[in-house]
Amino acid sequence: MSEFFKPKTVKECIDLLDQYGSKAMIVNGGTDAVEKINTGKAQPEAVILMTEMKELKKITVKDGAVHVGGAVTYLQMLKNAEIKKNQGMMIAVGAIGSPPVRVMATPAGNVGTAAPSADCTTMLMGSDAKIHVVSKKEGERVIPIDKFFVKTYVNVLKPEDLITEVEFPAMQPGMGSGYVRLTRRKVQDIGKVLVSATIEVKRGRCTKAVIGLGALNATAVRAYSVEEALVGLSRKEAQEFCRSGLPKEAGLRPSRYTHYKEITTPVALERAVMMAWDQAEGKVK
Amino acid sequence: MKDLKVVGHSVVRSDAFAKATGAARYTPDMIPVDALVAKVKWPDYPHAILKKIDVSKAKALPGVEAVMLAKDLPGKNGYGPMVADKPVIADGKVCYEGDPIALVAAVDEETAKKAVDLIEVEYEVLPAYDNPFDALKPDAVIIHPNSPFAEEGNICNTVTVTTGDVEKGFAEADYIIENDYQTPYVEHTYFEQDICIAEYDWNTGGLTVTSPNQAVFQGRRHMAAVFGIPQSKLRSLCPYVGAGFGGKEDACLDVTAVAGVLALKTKKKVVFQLNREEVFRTTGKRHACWIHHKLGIKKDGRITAVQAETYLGKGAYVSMSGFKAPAYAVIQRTAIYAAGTYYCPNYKTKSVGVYTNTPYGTAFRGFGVPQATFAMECQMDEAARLIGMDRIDIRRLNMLKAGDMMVTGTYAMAERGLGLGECLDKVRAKSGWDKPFDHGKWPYLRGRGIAAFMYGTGIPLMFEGACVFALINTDGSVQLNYSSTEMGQGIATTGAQMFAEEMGMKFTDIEVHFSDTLSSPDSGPTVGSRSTVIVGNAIRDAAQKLRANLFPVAAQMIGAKLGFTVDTRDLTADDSVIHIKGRPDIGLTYAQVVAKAYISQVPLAVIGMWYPPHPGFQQPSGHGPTMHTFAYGVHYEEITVDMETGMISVDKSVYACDIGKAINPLIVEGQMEGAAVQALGWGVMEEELFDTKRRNGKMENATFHSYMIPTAMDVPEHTSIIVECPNELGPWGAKGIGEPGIIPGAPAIRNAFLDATGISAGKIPLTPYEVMNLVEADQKKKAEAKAKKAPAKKSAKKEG
Amino acid sequence: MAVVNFKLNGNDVTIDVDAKERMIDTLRKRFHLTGAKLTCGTGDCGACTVLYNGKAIRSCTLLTCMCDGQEIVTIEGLMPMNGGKLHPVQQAFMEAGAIQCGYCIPGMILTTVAFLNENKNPTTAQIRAAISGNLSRCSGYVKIIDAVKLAAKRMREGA
Repeated sequence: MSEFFKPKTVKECIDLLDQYGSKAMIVNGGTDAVEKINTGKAQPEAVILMTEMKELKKITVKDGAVHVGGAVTYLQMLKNAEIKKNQGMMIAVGAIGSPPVRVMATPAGNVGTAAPSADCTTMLMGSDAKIHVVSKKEGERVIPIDKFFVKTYVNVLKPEDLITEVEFPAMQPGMGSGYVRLTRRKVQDIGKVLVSATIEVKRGRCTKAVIGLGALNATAVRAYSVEEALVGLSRKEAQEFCRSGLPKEAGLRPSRYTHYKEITTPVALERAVMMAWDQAEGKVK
Repeated sequence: MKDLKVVGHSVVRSDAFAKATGAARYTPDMIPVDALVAKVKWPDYPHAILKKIDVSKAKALPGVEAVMLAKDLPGKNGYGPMVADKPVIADGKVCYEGDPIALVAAVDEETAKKAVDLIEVEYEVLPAYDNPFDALKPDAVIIHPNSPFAEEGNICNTVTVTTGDVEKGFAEADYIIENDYQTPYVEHTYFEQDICIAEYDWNTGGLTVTSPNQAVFQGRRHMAAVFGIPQSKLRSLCPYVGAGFGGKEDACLDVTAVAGVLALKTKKKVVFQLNREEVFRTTGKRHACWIHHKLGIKKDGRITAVQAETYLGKGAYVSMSGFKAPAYAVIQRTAIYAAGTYYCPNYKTKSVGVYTNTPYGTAFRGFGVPQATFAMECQMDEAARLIGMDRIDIRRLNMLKAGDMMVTGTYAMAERGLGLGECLDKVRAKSGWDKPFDHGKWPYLRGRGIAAFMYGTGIPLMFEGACVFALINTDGSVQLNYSSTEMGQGIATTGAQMFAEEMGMKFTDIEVHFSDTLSSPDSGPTVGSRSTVIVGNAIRDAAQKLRANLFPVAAQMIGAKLGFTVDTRDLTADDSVIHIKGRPDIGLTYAQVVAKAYISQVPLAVIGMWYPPHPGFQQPSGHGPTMHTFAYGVHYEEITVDMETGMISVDKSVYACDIGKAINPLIVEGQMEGAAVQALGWGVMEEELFDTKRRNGKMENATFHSYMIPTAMDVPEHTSIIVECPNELGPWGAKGIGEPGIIPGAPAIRNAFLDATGISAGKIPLTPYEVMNLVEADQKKKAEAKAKKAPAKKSAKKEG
Repeated sequence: MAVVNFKLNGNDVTIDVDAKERMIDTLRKRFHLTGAKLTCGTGDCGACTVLYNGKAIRSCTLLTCMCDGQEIVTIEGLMPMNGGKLHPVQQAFMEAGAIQCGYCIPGMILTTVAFLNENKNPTTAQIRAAISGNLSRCSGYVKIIDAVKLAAKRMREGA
């Protein structure tokens, strides 16, 4: 028989995690966690709820970075003035699940689940995000998201770890973001191709690019080859480059959808980059 | 002619309050707390010989009350809605993922699950087939060897239709259009999962079974043999049903067989409920079809001949695909509807149902007609394009008119309602067909398409007909009992509307008791879009009989008051008062009349019945009367195609159906609209996939997040248009609408895709992957054609 | 085992459950409130929808212990909490022909109640987005959208 806990502080929480280790399960929104329980993949003895963790329910901006607390929900993000400036993030978060799912689900929880086809994870990848983690034994650490995933559904965390926040750069003038997902129906579908882009443009040329790819490789990945190639290009050159081929980081495995992903990923990439480009040049309200 | 007071009005459904407040009880809401929980050991492979089964550990688990193998069954180890071919428990072999290997009943769900996991099975794995062509290869393993239910090898059954002379017809044609079409296995996704609560009856040694079931009497006939008890000791009842769409004509038998045999064995209550994944893997599907279609037309657009060969992926058991005479069903429909709703003097079809190791093909809204119509409606657009004719005009030219011979050798009758022309006209006007249309700009191309249908009301089998029971109580309230199932289509409401109208009573005075073998005679299964007409006519008959019993009593009573003889023909009834015509104030309530009738040896209960013209279907000609009336319709769809991602957006829909008479217009529209969206799903996103490479042929997408059905964001702006061309044999002119709404949507979308892109698709669903395959192939072909120019040809033949 | 205290349809309740128990099971099996339906079990269909502190969420991916100290409203609570009268959303669904088999309806109604409490005059596009997480297989959504509009109109007029 399992029991539940409602820690009020991070300290209380990591003490519990230290005590129960792999027998504990953090339940944030519940959308991933309860499915694991339903399918028998997890049978925790201690359910640790985040409902009372006020310090993790905040979204703040500090030193040019947005800090999204570990218990912040997607609905909260969509209503936040700072997030609203981030075009790609709004699209990605707004596409997750459905409205009732977004009331409860959290970016911290989804990052923890490490699914390869997750929208917010892919957008965070394309935002050069950092994951803040704490545990009783190891204290606080900051892990860049492109070092966070090991393989499908596996991340670098230990059972005693708690994600306290997800951090990514705030939008500045000359900066834009975009997100494109290819699905089978318009909403409530896990995408087959996910592309995120954060672009900086100065005098008509790209000065920095961060590109995230999801649903292609075993985890969400950064497309460094694309990022390097985009720097210095004009808009038209960037469009042509994106369309020219599949990024090598896509790492497609054979499946029913392999050919589809091959031919449409360049399209999704171009559309995501151009969406970001337009915002960077001030063309998006 | 009297104005109708109840029929033709959108009265609020009698079950609306219960459903809007959560009070409505469905079978899963009625599970007794003392019921044992049943679980099934399902096979790990869809096609395998069972070499060894060890249930000893399961039997020994505390809390397990029964474990059953095939040898433990009390009656026949075979059942089905048409023939008794499906085993209750697999005996030596499994033919698909849903063949039970062993049954367990335990005190709770956890124990039952543990027990199932303790059952050990040794298999000899056989190759699994998910399509007819692999199953027909010379070296294919025979799924049902030496079976009375197989025509030959893996062929279940063949049906043919021949009319006129197709050789002559094609010789007369100016153009021959010959193409291949393919439609997938489709899931009903009815929201209520299949379940049966079976209770042993200590008084009779029989059973009471409660299950969402579209055919309580039909099911009882088969289940009694499975349980080894007389039908009269088996009560089969069904409360509100969370949708069926045809699937609950058969899936209910699967769960009833399991729960029932366990209840008999333990002499207790047993509940067997499928979870959603089990519903996907084990219950029946729409037959997948592979159609080779050849159409001959003259340059003025007239059809001269149609020839079609259809292969059906029929799944592991016969179910509703049909077998030998007289049990023709889905296979027969694909053979008789291959020329759609058009006059076709020369016609030859052959439909072959082939066993596959997939869930049994069963009834699903449309029953083979959507598949057959899909091919024909695609061909009509190809024809229109080829000869440069307007796509509505070509359909109007060829549509069946009064006196035309149909492909089954019978005749289209104006008296039965021929409303296709009116549907075409109304859709043409409402959709803005004659206005210029914006075809969009790369990569977002736009197109519009239409498709038309005809669909017969009822079951073309010899038992077609309905009986209902009605009784009026001494307080004037009525019990109207019929065995139809209320699964959302509104028959519990419309039946009461029809009775109230015929009796001249208030709608609220009628209480309907439905789908219980205890309370009514057999009104027939809730299938074939038959209930409004066939059960409706029986309901009218019951009301007429009851009136015939009560009016003479009323005439005598009113006459006594007035002091002279009153004839029954001087009387009428409105709002539950029998009165002198024109004088609602000179009369008596039904309650007052019944009180007198009760002591005057006048029966207060009646049986109403109705039978349509007797059907018949001969082989090999395929001739004979099938259904007495047909519904017609035209669906217009507008789409946008993203030519770089393959995503189709359906933007606008205009839909007209001739349904004879709308007993309840809001309910009729609801049927049209729900079916139209199922058609959209079938056209662009729904398909069951079987993984022969990695999962031994097991189903790949068995959840709601891997099998896609449309959400509110996927559906277009929609207009429903009801057309009423009365059927002289239908209640107030009605025809059936339960199924046909689903028929034209998918070909209309495919035709809109052709209009947008110039690409002829042969296969649905048009998922983004299928679209990109087509776009790539088209671009390749255009590049090759540019390289060399081909001479213009008379016959148009395309690679699929 | 875990003792969970919460408000259910306006009343304070206490229940002792395993922390892994789902709210859909607690509602249906322990409180005998069968209006919320278990249809897909994977959080995809919305037939299990309940209101959680006024917001429509899925009860099949909600642990009962997550409701400790929170407020839950089910379909059965709408009438009693509306002075014993049908909520305008329920009335509108009944009249607009939006109900067929009824299985998606409790979830649709609750989603609509939560939505109209926040958006009093929604456009068609906003309605579609709001109910995009509630699947319906019978209706094609047409009359459900009509019902939401009718309810919104009546609620604005003070029904």
